[in-house]
Amino acid sequence: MNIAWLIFALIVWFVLGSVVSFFARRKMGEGVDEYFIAGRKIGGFVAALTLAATIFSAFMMVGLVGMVYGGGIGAMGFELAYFVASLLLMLFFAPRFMVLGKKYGYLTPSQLMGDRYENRAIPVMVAILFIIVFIPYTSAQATGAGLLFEGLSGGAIPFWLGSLILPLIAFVYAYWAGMRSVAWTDALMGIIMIIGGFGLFFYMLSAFFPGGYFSTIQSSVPGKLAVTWPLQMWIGLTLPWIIATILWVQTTQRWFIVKDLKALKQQIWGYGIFALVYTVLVGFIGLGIAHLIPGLKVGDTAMPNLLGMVPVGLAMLVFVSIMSASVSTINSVVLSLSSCVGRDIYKQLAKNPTEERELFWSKLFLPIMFLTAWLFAQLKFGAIVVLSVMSGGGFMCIVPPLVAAFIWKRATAAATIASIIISGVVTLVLYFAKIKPLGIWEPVWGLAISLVVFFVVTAFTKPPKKAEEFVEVSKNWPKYAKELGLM
Amino acid sequence: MKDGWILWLHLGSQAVYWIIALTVLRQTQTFLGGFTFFSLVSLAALIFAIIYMYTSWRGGTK
Repeated sequence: MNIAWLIFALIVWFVLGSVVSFFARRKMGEGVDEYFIAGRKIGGFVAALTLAATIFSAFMMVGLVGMVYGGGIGAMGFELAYFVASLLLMLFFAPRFMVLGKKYGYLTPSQLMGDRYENRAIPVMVAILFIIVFIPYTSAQATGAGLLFEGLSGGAIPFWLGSLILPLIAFVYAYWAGMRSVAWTDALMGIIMIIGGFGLFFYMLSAFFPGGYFSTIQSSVPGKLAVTWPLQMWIGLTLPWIIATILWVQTTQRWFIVKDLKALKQQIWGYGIFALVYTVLVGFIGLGIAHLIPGLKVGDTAMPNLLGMVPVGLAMLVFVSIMSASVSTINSVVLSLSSCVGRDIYKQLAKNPTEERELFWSKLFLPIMFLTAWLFAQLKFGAIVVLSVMSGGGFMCIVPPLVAAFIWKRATAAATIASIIISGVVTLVLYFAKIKPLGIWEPVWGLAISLVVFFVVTAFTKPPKKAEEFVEVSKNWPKYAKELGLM
Repeated sequence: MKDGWILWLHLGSQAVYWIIALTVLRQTQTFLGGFTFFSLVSLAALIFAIIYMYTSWRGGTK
């Protein structure tokens, strides 16, 4: 693609996002809650699109397209397993996060855990875990952008510069007006993502499949329509995925931002429609490329190769849709992490914390995290892939204490700390020693060990006083939602 | 609210989903196999979620 067209598309897209961000800034009020959760006043439409655009990153149009290209329909099944799981988990957890967040003033899920277990170390630990786990995840977004720029410009835009552009734009959107700007720009990015996906798919149908898409794929690449993933690979990849919805700070924080129960319902079904349509589109495109360009050695190059075969206007649209997916994910993740720095680390450790200082430390973290993501991106693929896989396992250690916080009065702080530390250390050792006992992947061991430690330590320790009240609110959330004016 | 069964539904649906994906769908090489199964289960989950929210999360809206 001509570099001038590439830069033109990038500038138009950035200006469009900046205009939206500017209007968000004009609506923004004062204070930490306003900056990080938009004062809990976001409506259903924007809440749905920001949730969807945050969850779906460049992984979809580059990574998942490549996985379907290489591994066939099983890769789409893996992503839809996440979809089904996310919807069911949202039905249970989303209203609880919303009601508990409003009742107790929670800003982050780590703050929620610390308050529920009445322990100051827990939010600090969980916040640090979030930051460590998300460094490879955010840097993978910068890596994807760097490769896309480099590939589409024919090397005229080097990797280091391409991978810097994305964090810079995301930083502007996030720093400028916090969550309101991120949510509004995410909504715009979500619309661009879905238009880009449809545009590419319909062009493929008309230009490359004159004899019919379904019959061509079935006769050309029938093997791609069968699930071929080995059992251990399926479990190792899917298990962390099907619980991820409640572990990602940027997702759970989006249940704090909605203004009421009506908006929450709209958020969930809006996300559901977007997610299902977008995932199926990605599956279609991946299978289509398997027919059109067979023999690629690296699946991630499937999309860039396809873009070389379509008109420049469409290629630009898809390019900005992929950039939109990356920016809407990275700005949401980093903004959520920065709220954890202020609320869960600064506020727990400072002797006399103030709201001004909390906001100062949070905002200071924003450029540091974006810079870190860019620096990690310079490590390129090998190390990033290893770190990304590790990040999935890293999250599994907080599954038992997080779920138990809502449903089990007996669950204790000591059990939470012990399960996170022990399973986290064991998972790390397994990764670095490259050991898969019984052929089972590390995240599965991480979850199993965390569960055992959590139950054993809980049996020998006392639950905090707050547990009873917290679980009561969780259990009877509709009653409290009414009291709080949420429905 | 007695909705703990949703968590069991979550685990159960994944178990069924995984078993079918890793057994029956290994043999099917048409769109009527894995593609249809994965899409229809997802669509069913979405319809269920919408119906559930609008019937069980009662109390009216603003």
